[in-house]
Amino acid sequence: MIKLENAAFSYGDKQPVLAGVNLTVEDGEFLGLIGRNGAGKTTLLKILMGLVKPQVGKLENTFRRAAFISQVTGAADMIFPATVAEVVSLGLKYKPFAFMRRADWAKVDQALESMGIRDLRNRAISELSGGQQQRVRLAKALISDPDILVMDEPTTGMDSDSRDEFLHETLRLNKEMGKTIVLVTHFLSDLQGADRIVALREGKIYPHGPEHCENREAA
Amino acid sequence: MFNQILAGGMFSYPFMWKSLIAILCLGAALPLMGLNMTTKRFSMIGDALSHTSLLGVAVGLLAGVLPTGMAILVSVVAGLIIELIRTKFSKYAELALAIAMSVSVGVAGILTKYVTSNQFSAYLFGSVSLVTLTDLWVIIPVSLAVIIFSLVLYRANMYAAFNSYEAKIAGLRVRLLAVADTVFTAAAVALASTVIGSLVVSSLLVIPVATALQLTKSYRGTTIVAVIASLLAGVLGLVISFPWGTNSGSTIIIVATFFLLLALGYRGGRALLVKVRMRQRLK
Ligand SMILES: Nc1ncnc2c1ncn2[C@@H]1O[C@H](COP(=O)(O)OP(=O)(O)O)[C@@H](O)[C@H]1O
Ligand SMILES: [Mg+2]
Repeated sequence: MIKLENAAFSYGDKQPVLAGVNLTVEDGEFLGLIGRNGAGKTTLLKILMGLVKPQVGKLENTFRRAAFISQVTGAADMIFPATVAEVVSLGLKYKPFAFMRRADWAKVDQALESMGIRDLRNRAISELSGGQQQRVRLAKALISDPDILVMDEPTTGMDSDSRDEFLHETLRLNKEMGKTIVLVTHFLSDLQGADRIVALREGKIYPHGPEHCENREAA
Repeated sequence: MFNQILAGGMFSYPFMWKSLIAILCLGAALPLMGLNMTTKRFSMIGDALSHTSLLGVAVGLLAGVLPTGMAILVSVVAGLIIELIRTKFSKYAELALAIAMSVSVGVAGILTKYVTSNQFSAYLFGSVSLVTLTDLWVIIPVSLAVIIFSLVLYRANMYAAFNSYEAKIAGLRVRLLAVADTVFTAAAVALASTVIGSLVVSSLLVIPVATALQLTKSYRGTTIVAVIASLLAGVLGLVISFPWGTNSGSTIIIVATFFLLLALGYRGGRALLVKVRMRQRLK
């Protein structure tokens, strides 16, 4: 469980991004987070993950191991020479001094297999399409055996087939493997399998139940 | 010609051995740190640090302490300040580099008024053949420290370069790692700057890495190829500079750049081959 109480946050002297956020992520739930560009979703995720400290508020996290798939931004100007296998291997438990052994690479191959991207193994990560990259990053996240998986707009830039497969995989992780999922997206259709949807608006969290859905309002 | 040189000539001089050891140490250490800085998109720090090392040399000559040691000290301190600015006020990172460079060159230039000028100018282009045993006592341990650091934290550096947030969640001390990276880079650059010359050192930080990026796509491959390219350029440059009587540091960098051009040519050639094959297939 992650419990964030009454959190307020601003970048330096700027307008507060969060102004009194209360949010609990329960064990095993699939939580969807929506909000406009610049609403503060990424900032909220960073706070939930303990990467950024809010100026006000209290954070409690009882999850054993979190995996974060961060938002892809301006990857074009990144110089990162690595193969798909190397990127996935980053998800393995980190020990200084430790080099990858054969058993470790076997785990990497297994993770690639389970994502259906075995054939991408030795390709450079930078030459993959957005959808392929996200599957690689999901494989990397899963190999670390997290109990909570936090994803920041993972489906942005995917074609509809890739998106369907990605969401199918996400749902399987949640329903069959019991992983807690927090998914930020701009598409309500991504959240069909979600247990709960919340919206971030003007620095506060609002429940986004069926009664808030646009089609319901129109009816 | 080279057979002659290798068999009888150059390595019968003890100073050549010292030069060779210095080049091998620094040639391995520099591209390792260069890769870290390149993946962070901060390879420009090499330029700033080579300039701050000049300031250290000037201070050292003036104060009568070992210039190499002073260069390392000044560069490490400057590197830490730059790193602090890069993380806390990222918008001003490039400005910080520019300020560090201009202040260093300015102050160093003024200080040289008080030292013998050719003493100082030796450090601009370096003087590999003047490497002393005392120098080696600094070069060997510092280079070894950089190499061991790179090996031990190989995966950590790769992870931080991939995505610092995800690395942090995985339990990595990303800030500490960045500070350590900077300290080691500063030490290696300052040291190399006094040996191969401050004007060429930052090139040796990035050119072998750029060469490797043309030839391989894995992180491991890039690391290995960059080190090999750097070592080859170092040794070849040293060997060539001896009979030609050219400045070693400058010769090394010319050889390194030649390798880069070869790598670019190789890549361009392969692209051309693919194009030709596609044309043939469509006929
Ligand atoms: N590092 C930063 N420094 C200053 N302002 C930032 C920083 N990151 C985000 N912001 C600002 O905070 C607000 C929320 O950003 P973000 O959390 O990325 O929103 P979202 O993910 O919902 O699009 C935006 O107005 C953005 O410009
Ligand atoms: Mg965002």
